[in-house]
Amino acid sequence: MYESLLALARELADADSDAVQPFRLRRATSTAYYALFHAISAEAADRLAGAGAPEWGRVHRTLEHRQCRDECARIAKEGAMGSGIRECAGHFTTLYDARQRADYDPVWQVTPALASAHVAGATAAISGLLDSPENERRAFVVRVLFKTRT
Amino acid sequence: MAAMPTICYTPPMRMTDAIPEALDHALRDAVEAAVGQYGARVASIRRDVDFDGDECLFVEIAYDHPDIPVDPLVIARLDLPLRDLAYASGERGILYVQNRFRDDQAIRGSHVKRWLGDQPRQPPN
Repeated sequence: MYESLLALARELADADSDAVQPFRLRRATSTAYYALFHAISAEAADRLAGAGAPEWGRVHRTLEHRQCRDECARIAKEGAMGSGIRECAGHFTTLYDARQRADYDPVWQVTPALASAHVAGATAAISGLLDSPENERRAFVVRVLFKTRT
Repeated sequence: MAAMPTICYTPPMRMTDAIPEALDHALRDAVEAAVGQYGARVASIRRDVDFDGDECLFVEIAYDHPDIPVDPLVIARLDLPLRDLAYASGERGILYVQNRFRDDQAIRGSHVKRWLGDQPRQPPN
């Protein structure tokens, strides 16, 4: 799913200029964010339920936007995990804010260069996640899925 | 009577707090090093809140040379080292870069069009 979303985001960002381009670019930014969100959801489902398991969709649906952003910001702040996970967490934090502006802020200015940067960020984030060692990927999805209770 | 324990309390940063001068300089230097090649400059550094109401630090960067092609991946990665600088100087809010491009900004497309090359995920059987 996330590969298709990423491809769609690229198409939207690269399209020629016309009357609806500003709206297309907003969709590019939003779609790039959702590509990353679904990539993390799929990673969580693969790690915690296993591909093909009946619980796969249930785990996939568990990821929450705000919780994921807060934990990604914490990971970036701690600097404890590997570079691939930190890159993924950093881009998620950035795209979380950009997606909200793209979807809800009517005065937000988006240009082809900015939308392209968001697509590149989502691509780099997904690569960073998938290129990371398996134990770090598992630790990452546990952190973004589950809140710490004291 | 035993001495009262010393209570150490660091108050949270406020939106009215000034940006520390050292951090301001460090951020400007980092921006120059990362995207100065594109004619970029720091237009402003300010505190504000994000959509969730969380306090943040926004670094606004203006790109004044639309004829110089920018690399989207370099732009995308700019937040990460700047965020590290802010955290290292004691900032608690999340730093966000606000890149201001002109509509006719030239873009280098090598990274944007790159496919990941990984296998599609399989839904449950």
